[in-house]
Amino acid sequence: MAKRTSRQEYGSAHWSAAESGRPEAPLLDVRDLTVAYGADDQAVVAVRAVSFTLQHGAVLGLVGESGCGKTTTALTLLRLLRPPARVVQGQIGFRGADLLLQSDRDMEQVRGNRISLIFQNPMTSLNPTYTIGAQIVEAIRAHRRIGGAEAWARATELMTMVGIPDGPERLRAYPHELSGGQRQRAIIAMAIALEPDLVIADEPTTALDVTIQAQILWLLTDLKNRLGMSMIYITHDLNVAASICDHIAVIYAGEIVEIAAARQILGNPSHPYTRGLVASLPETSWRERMVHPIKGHPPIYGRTLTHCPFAPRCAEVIDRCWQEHPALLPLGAEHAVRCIRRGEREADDGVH
Amino acid sequence: MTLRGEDTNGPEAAPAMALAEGPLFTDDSLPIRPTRSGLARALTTLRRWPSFTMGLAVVVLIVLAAAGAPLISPYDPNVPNFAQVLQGPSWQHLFGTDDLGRDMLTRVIYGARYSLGISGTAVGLATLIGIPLGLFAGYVGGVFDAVVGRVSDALFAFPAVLMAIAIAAMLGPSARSAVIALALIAIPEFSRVARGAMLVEREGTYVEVSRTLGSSWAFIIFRAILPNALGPLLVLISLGFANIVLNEAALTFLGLGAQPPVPEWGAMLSVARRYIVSAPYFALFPGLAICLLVFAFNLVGDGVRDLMDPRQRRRS
Amino acid sequence: MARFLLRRCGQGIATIFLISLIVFLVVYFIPGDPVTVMLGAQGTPAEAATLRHEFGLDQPLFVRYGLWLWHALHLDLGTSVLLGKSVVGEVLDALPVTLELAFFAILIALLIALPAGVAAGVRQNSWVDFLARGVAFGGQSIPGFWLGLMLIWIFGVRWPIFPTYGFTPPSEDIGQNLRCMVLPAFTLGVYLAAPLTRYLRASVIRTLSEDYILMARSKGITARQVILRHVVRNSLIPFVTQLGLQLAYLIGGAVVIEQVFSLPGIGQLALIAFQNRDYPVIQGVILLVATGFVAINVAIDVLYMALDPRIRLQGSAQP
Repeated sequence: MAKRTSRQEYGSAHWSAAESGRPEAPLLDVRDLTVAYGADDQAVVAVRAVSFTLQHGAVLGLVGESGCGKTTTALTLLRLLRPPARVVQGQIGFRGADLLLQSDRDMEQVRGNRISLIFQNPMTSLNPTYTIGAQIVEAIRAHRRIGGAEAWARATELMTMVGIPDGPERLRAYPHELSGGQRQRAIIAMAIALEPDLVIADEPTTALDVTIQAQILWLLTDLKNRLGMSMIYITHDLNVAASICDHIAVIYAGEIVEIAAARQILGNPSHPYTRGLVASLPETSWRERMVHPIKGHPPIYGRTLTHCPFAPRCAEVIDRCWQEHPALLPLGAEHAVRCIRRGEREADDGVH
Repeated sequence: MTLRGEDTNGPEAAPAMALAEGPLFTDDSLPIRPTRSGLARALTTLRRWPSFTMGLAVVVLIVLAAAGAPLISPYDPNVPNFAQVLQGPSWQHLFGTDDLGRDMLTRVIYGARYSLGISGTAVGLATLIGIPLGLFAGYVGGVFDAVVGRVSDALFAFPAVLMAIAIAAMLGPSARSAVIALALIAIPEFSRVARGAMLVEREGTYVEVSRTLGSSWAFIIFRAILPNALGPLLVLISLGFANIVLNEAALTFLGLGAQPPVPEWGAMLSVARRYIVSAPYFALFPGLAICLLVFAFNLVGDGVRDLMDPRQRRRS
Repeated sequence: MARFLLRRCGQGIATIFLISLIVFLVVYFIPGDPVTVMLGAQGTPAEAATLRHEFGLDQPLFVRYGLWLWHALHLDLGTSVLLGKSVVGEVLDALPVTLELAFFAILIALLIALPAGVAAGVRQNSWVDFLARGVAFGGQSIPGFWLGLMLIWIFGVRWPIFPTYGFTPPSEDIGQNLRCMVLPAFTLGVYLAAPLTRYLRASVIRTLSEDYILMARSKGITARQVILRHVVRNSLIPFVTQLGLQLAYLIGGAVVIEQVFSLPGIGQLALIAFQNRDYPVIQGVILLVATGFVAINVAIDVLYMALDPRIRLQGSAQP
């Protein structure tokens, strides 16, 4: 039924702490996470055997086009998915426990408190009938037994931290009275209110103006440094990812097709899709004064996938690409890629 | 290979999933599924929505029963039989008898004629007047729309029953004044829904194309837009019919519609009220008949609505 | 906000005037002459003319409308032909009964619809949902007056717990008054609850798919708090508007229910007036009811504004 999963198949892409040179255990250890929508036969797989680790204080980027499963992954980490979505298999190791096995009540303890989420669209992510202050206070008091006044004071502190002027006044405002950038800052304030270990930012700047984007990015970097949080940054913009992330995982059709340090991804992209992404960046092609888009659309696959997901759009495709599903194989230290034309070792049982 | 195009169900069974990001695309190189014929799709639909089919069947049955009333009724609906007044259900009289000894089953069947007839006429009037009015108001906008809107609001502000009383006072209580009252109550609602549907369709590209080609507004509204707006309008007519049947029964019950000795369900209930203590069965069957007809129309209306709305699939 | 209020009230008043005109015209065009009705066959033309003059029936239309309106604004709607009492007086006698019925009916309707609608919407496609939807669907197919009759049968004949007709004012005996209200209010309440449940359910389902609900969940507040604080509150806003629209059905239903249970309310008043060609009463009742209806709709709009801060601030002047 499920894809056969052997750790060997993913090789050392799922690198252990030792290999990446840091002795302590990772904060987040995701293994073979697979999420599908719909019933078995007609299931559509949104996230396919995704594995990665995240160290304390590190930033991991999840980069890919719309519909490739990045947000689904993020929502799964917090167990926020609803039917018809379901987790088919996998493990989410966080602080010694598997989040997929926790009860709803335990997950409520984690959400907002240890892992928080920053959403994509600040226009719709705030309840229009409550003030900003009420919503921040709600986030705080969900996990701390403190009085209203104290919570409000903390909220004012947070407003300053995220750079919203006139904190106390702004707290009493309703969401629609704030600009998009300010709303996003308020959402960030809610996300860091309880100093979580991990913040997942799902395209936090996509819905904002370019000028505001830079400010928000700066804010997030600053907060990360100050509070020592880890971050998963989801975006479709490789440049943005490179500026803020330590490592980047490139996702295509629900699978990680390449994962490496940010410098590597930009400077030495390996997977044809990554190369396409890098080539399509305006700065890269500026020299040639042409934009190089990748032709075609991102697909969605069902339960069984017996070929490379990128084959339909790949410029380097060969016959073998359609006959076997490539495994994620290492390509040197801290760099793994899913392409049969790149892997150092041929996998023995790479099929299916 | 398994790509989305190989889903075994037809287009109408597209999984109702809500991936957070963007639309879903299939691979360009795969062949497109051939569409099934319209009839095949219609039959599949009927099979998949048993409640809708059932509702439609009941409505058809009642219409047939009403049409063939003389053929299937055991007795004459108007001839009294003072020997058997206010009897309960028995093998002779399945639904019992009324205060004049007339067979209730017969009268209930004949009653379908009145209910369907009066309500049907009112629905017809509302459809023929209200819908074009709303479509036109939505299409043209401006002063016409504003005026129609204001008058509609004023009519809406009138509780229906009081309007019926007023009309019945003017014209005398009869089936005719009931029809007028019911139509007047329904027309604002019909025109409002039609207007809404028009506002949605008006922005379609095909409208612009028609306009550029120089078609007249009548053509655009009735030949181009109406078929596309058919969905909500069909829902409106079915549910409207249900409502109007209920209202009609209520009006007759209050004495504002068809007068006794007509075998109309509401009228029968109005008489039955007096005998509720001594002969409770008298009130049971006409009421059940009303429930059945209204229920059937509601099923049909809901079924059509579910058909039209891709989000409301029962099986996902 | 004040400007919005003012504008809304102005609209309401305009509508009321329009209605008053319609009401007056309707009665004006009723065939038949109240004077001949009153005098019967014996009246001589001279007497008829005198009577006509007394009632101002020989004046032109506009004058009559103006006079009537003028009197109406002074709360004088004429005299009931049937009973000789003032129309306003009779209406004031009948109004409390209807209001009490309406109050309890709405209470019962909300007590049913609120939990059912929210539960059905939150647990979509569960047995709770199907049950609620099924019952609501059935409830919408049942004629209210028939339900009333059936209840009379069950509770009046089989288990005579509640009185099935008549009315005792609360001033006389509040216990009996409430017992008189049980069956009619329940009938009307159930009749109202069905569409309300469905509407609330739809509103809840729509709200559940909003982004801010997902955001609330991600903050780690308990599921129950999410529902109570975010889902219910935001679902209620469109629900309240629908409630206002349902008031039209409430009044219609009240008339019928009053007839079934013989309650001396506005509905009975209007019906009896109708049966006896008591036109001043019909006029007065329709005008008052419509006015009340418009006033309630304005109040609902104001309430809507209070609940949804976006509208509240939109109404005020923006820089």
